[in-house]
Amino acid sequence: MIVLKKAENTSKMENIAKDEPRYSCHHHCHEHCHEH
Amino acid sequence: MRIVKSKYTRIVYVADDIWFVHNLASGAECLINGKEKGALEKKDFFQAEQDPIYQEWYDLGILVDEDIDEDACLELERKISTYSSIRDQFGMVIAPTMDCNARCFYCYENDTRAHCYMDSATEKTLIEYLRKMATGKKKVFISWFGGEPLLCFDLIQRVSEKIIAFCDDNNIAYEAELTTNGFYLGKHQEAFRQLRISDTQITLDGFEAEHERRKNYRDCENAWNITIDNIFTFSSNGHHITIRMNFDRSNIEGIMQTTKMLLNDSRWNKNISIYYYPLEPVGCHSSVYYTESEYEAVMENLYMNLYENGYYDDRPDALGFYKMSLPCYGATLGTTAVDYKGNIYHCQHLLCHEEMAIGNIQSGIKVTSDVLKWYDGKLSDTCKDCQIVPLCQGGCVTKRNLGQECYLCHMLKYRIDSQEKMKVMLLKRQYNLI
Repeated sequence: MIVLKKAENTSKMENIAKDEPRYSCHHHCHEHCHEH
Repeated sequence: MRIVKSKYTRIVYVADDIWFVHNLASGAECLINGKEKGALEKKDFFQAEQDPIYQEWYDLGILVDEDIDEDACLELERKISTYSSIRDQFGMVIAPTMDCNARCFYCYENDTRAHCYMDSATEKTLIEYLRKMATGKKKVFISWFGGEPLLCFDLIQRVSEKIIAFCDDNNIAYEAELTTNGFYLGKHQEAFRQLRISDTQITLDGFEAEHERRKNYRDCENAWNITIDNIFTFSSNGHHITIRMNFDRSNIEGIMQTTKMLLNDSRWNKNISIYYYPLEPVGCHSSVYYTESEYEAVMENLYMNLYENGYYDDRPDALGFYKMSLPCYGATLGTTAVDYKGNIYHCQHLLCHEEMAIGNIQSGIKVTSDVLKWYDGKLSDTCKDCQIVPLCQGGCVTKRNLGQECYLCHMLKYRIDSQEKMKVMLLKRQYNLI
């Protein structure tokens, strides 16, 4: 197995919502804006 | 400890004896061989101590505890995020006018279009409201919207300068974005830098004359060439431009042609992003609109066209799969929308529908049971068996609250298979597996 990317989140309670909330900004409704 | 395959684990064929495995909830990605794939697919449960790879898969979130409820984990995250963001962040979508130099036939604001602008008293109140709401926060985010916001750029400049100064004085991070048709952008380049507008979204609706016809500009000669020049001039000078291409059956060829033209232009650069969005039948069910059942095939053509024209070569991260905490800002009172009269709404789709206002900038948001009921972190029944939930967290909150039952989903639902295909194509190039 080659790991390309480690887990950013897990289903462990201590990891849930530990980071700043991530959601679509208004003009990318229904799309993601991860390029900038 | 008994562990099982996560419901959000997906396995994609890469090449002989190589499979790409990723988990949409954890974000982890790996390559495995055929034997490992067989174990991952066929075993009902695993004991982590039986094989070191089981523990590795568990650490990656590809396997999870048998007795964990993954849907409950996502719901808990939505609920925490809905309220926690209010404490540290303040965001506002500001529409200082509903006037526009275009008359796009599909615009959801057509029934509220008016030559009305925010007056000076409302502007003053808005500045006071923004200062009040920013106090004590770590970050302020402003999104300029309309109508066409550049029709009142002086107001944008005045309000931005005052809020930026307030944020700087109080050690609050500030960021802004702006949505425009791009026609009036040209003269504002240096001001955008000063006003910290980090992203500008421009909509293109087809190729050349088709774009101008669909936008139906008022008194704007040569709109296509001016808009394209503005996109390249701004992006070449370090401004990020997001191009949204709205499509239906009648302009899909023009959209493909526009994409190729942009990507093959010598001025093309990494500061430009492109995404596509299908026009939805609003109020009428004309045959010109694609239906949801057709989205997947159309999206694959559009995004494959991007791939084949080299779009992802310098931005492989754009092919990533990113878990969301909430569907959109409409799910939190940490970010709201305000119209030129100063009325506040859950989201910009409700602007100027005063019966949907949840308050105003004079007296703030009125917390009522209706406001509290707007978003409860629950999913609709149609989402419950959908594997894409970690990436969308339930789709459009506003449409659901308005009783709409279709066109709710995030577009990634329709393009996840093609995005996986492109990701695999990229991996094959990266690992010389072609």
